Amino acid sequence: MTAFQRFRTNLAACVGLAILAAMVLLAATAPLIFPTSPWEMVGEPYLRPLEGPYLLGTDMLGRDIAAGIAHGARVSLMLALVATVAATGLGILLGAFAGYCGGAVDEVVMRATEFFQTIPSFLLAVVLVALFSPSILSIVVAIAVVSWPGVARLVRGQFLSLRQAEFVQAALVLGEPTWRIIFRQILPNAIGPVIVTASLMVATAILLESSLSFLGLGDPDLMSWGYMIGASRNLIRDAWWMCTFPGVAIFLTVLSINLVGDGLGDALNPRLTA
Amino acid sequence: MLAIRGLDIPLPIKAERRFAVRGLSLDLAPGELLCIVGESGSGKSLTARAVMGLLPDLGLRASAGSILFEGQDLLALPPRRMEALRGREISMIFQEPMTALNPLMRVGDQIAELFHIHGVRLGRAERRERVAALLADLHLPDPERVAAAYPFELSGGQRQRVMIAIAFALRPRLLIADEPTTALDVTTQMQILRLLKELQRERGTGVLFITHDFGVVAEIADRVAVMRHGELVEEGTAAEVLRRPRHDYTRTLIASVPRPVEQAEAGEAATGAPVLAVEGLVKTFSVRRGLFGRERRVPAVRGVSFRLRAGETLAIVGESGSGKTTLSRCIVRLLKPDAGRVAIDGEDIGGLGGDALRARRRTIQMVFQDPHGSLNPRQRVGEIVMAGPLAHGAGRAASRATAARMLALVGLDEGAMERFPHQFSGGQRQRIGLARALALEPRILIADEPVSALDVTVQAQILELLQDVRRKLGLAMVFITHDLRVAAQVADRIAVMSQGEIVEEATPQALFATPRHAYTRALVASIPGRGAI
Repeated sequence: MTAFQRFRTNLAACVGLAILAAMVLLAATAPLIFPTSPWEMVGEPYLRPLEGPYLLGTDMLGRDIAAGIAHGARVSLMLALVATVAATGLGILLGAFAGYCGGAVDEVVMRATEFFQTIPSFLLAVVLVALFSPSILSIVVAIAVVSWPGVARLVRGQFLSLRQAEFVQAALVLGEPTWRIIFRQILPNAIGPVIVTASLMVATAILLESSLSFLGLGDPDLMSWGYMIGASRNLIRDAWWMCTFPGVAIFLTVLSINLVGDGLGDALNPRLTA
Repeated sequence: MLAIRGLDIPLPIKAERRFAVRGLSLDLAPGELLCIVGESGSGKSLTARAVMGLLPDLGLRASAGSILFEGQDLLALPPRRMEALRGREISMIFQEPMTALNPLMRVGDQIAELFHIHGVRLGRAERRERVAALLADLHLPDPERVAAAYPFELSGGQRQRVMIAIAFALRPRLLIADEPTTALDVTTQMQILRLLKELQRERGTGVLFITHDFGVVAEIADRVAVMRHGELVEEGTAAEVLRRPRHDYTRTLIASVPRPVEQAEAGEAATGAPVLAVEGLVKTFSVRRGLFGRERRVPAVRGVSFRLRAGETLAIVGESGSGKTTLSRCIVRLLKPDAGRVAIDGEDIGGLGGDALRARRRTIQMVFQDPHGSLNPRQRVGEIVMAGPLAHGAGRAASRATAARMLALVGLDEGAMERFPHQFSGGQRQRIGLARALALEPRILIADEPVSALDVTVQAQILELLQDVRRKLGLAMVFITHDLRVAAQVADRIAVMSQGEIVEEATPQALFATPRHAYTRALVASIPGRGAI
């Protein structure tokens, strides 16, 4: 069975993929469905869902919540994706060299990951964003900085064991250059678990971004789910819909990504299916 | 005592053949030792497991036939009754002594547990006595100490003895031994085989012995059953089958057992300057436990010297831990020797590094042991074989042509280039590994146990191919092996290694006729089935 076939037989993973696809579609078509800016005050404030022309109601300033969620999806997914790619790239690079070279390089990289892993990651992210003033760039950097050590450790472990594999020794004896051994021989065999970790990291990144925005550390020009919850949190008893719907959006997206990630993990590990 | 009648074990639908075991009938008398011989995939292990009621958990089960043990059909027995039989009436020894014992339990307790499970109530002192007596029966020195030891404190051979002690503890009537000596060194194997034979004779136990090695058969079997593709090919007394095999397949199997050839062609090539000269090679590993632990130095190779001329084959024979693998890794410079010279055409490569070393690598290439682990599963065979020429600056078209030529040389067609390693059998993969090494047109080939993971018939083909290629290309070869028989078949000279040193070097004929060193004598005496086949 190929990895794709195994993934297809996993119902939970397929449901996750469907939800995720819907979210991506919503994000992609947001400017078409909601052409006006989500910051625009379009109607009366405090409209309940379906009361008036707005599907999910309006907030305390009369902004369309549905538009906020659609545009927020763009921001959340984009930020999370970019941050994950950056963190994974950095993690792979450092982990690969640490695992392959061993010795002093390994020591330095591993102490660095320990340094980052012993600091509460969310606090570090808050400090970084506060330090460099909230903007899309500083948020991406902050998320990437707190996420890479996990990937680095994983990749290092894979490299440590694969470096001893006979096909790698064979490549050494043939005289293949080091970069080729790392990227052509070992990395393709180590990438499976990394893909799984990266997919789960997207979910963590969405949560991190939402939490930052909730604390008012989001990019002030961008509508995001975390910001919506943060802005309406003290109205939760009078206007439940204002923070509930963005919350549901975060929940569904993170859940779907986790389902897909787990499905990928099973699909890429043929030993699980006997 | 044991009668297997028309046993069928079907395989899952997608498998390459329909039955793992087909229409098998066998008999075992009390006190008899029956060897089931076959190559991998012959169904011999599954048969043993079916008797034990331990078929692997893949939905495998017997679909027809019966296994009668003293009149009752084991296949029809409810699980609880089977449990009561297992260990008491029927017991089993497995291949891997490293994993068959519980690592967290003292050896003595593991033996005593068996008495407890089968309701043999014993006092503490009596139990200790029984355990000690059992271990003493197995010629384990200092039984008290062994009983108090944890498995990791024992050697492989000692653990296998403990397994045998457990198997014999309740004086079973039937013992199933599934390749019990395959993972052991030859000298240990011989001790275990003798021990098994002795216990079987003394106690009148019926033994079903699964093996792939006709040498082992010649050593211990009363009767032999040869299996192939799940079917019984031939059955008879050991003497009969070994001397006058009726079936072609049995003949092929026996002929494939490596043996010294009466060749004298060594003389032709053994002149001229050596292409490879190793002098006083030393490699010591230092192991450190934890950050502040004390450093422990383990000498792996201590002062090895030998010379190799063009067209010559030197076999390096040794048991596990003798340092032969470390030596081979130092010669191809996967490891850096601590001292000594590795001179190719007079130039020492032992101290080289970086690009200078990379450039020299093409003259000395290696064939690896594991046909599964030595090829990158994510690369096509073409890429794998082309890697060498590409790394040394040849163009893609030229590399491809070389790869095709080398694959043809090892007997694979050009279509192989587009396929992935997992689409090939073990023997074919070993051919691919050889083609990869040859693609650089080396002058020296280091073969590290290239056939020890293969079935005997495939083993014979690969050995022949190696000889053929070596002759055609005029290669000098260092052949690392644990099997003196294989060494004697391929080599012009044999160097015997023990504890990091070469203790004796001689031609195969001289080595077998008049081994000088005590260790060599022990090795030669431990070759299973020597003289019989």
